[in-house]
Amino acid sequence: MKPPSKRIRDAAFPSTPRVRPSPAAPARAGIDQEMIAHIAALRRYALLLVGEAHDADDLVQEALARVLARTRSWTRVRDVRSYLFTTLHHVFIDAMRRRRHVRMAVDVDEIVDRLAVPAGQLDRLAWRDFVRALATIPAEQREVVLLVGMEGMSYAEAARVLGVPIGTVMSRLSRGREALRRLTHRGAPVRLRVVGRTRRDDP
Amino acid sequence: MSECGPSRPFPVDDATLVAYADGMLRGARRRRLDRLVRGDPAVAARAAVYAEQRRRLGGLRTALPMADSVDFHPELVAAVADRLRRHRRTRRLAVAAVLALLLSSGALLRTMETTRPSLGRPVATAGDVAGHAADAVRFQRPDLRAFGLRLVAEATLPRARVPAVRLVYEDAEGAPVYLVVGVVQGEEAEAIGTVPEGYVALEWRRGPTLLALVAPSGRPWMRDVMKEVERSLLEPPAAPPPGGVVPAADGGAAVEPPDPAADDGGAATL
Repeated sequence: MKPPSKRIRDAAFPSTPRVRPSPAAPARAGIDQEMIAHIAALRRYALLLVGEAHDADDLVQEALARVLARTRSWTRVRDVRSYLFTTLHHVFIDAMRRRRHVRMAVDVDEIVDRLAVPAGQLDRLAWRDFVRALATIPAEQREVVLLVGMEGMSYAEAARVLGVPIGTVMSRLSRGREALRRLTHRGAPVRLRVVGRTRRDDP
Repeated sequence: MSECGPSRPFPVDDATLVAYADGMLRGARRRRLDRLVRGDPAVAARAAVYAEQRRRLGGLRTALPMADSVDFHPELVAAVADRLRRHRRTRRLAVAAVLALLLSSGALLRTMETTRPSLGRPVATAGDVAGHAADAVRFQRPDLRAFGLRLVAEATLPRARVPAVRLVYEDAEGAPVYLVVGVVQGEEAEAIGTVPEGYVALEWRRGPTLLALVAPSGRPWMRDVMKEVERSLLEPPAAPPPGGVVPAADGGAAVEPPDPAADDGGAATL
């Protein structure tokens, strides 16, 4: 397959010269390849954020379009992943403001149907409960929970992506995780005990 | 806090415990939490819950592999390229709109010397352009009072590419309305290149005569005024207006009497 990055660039900026690689800035082609490597993560994150595959893909496409549109003057991007997630966050915020393309109710079933988890009924139910709980918490908390918990970002990186102080990240994260705990906590296993006499015990 | 019971406060806040479970604590803080977890079953239980959460959240990466992202790439590329094309087109249109705005403001100053015509300002007559046209056209200043338009000024346009006059009317709302009449000898197609912001132009040609009616947008009488202007163009008056005064310039405008040699009694000869 022809490298998508070149096709995008040729279609968008036919007369734009390539960005020369330099020690301070990775080459444009390298950035494109790295960007493509993050597409699955971006789509997963967007899916859990908006809960519908088409809306999620729309967000990702818009984010990548924005990123590519800026790469003509893109001279120094040290962390492509953070840059992509930051752009996606901005697109998500814009979409939330418009409330046009993004449904705010996460479709738990659609996500659960996509889960590649062992077929065990209990495990699947546990995943369903977990995704449902995740969908219940506010979007700003869900963002932090996903970035840190699912994507493995540090608090500082999540703060950069979301454009908030680290303290805000920790606050949102603890509130989100506490909410998840309350929503999924079932307490101690239920024990059954006999409280009445059985027929066999009858004289 | 229910695990701890109402009497004893939970010894550590959730933010710290989450950070501990996520492996974000280092040094003394981590050691302190280690001791706390070892010594307090309630803290240990909650830390275990958060650790399980972290494990499950991390598991989402493998549980949602988004394997179709490989197939998604070509679609993505096409969609992104399409969006970029639209972005570029929008940007080009925006640039063109800004340029048009700038040009129109400049052109307005050049071609319309009096955007706010003054009633007391002396103006030239349409007859000033007589003799330039190969085929003389009789043109009477249209009386548009039926449409609430009163003639307030008229002027020749010496810098125009073709001999042209401009009549300025004022509508009921006090906005100027321009009627530009020019005579061309070749294939000149445009009477007026740009119009002021908020205005629309209705341009048409009758033989060698180019006409342009420039009025604020949204005026309902544009077509009717155009027809009236057509009548003025095609039907020269049978008799000159009294005293050779411009007929529609009410309101005390000091309009020069037309030159009898060039202006056949209220009908400008272009």
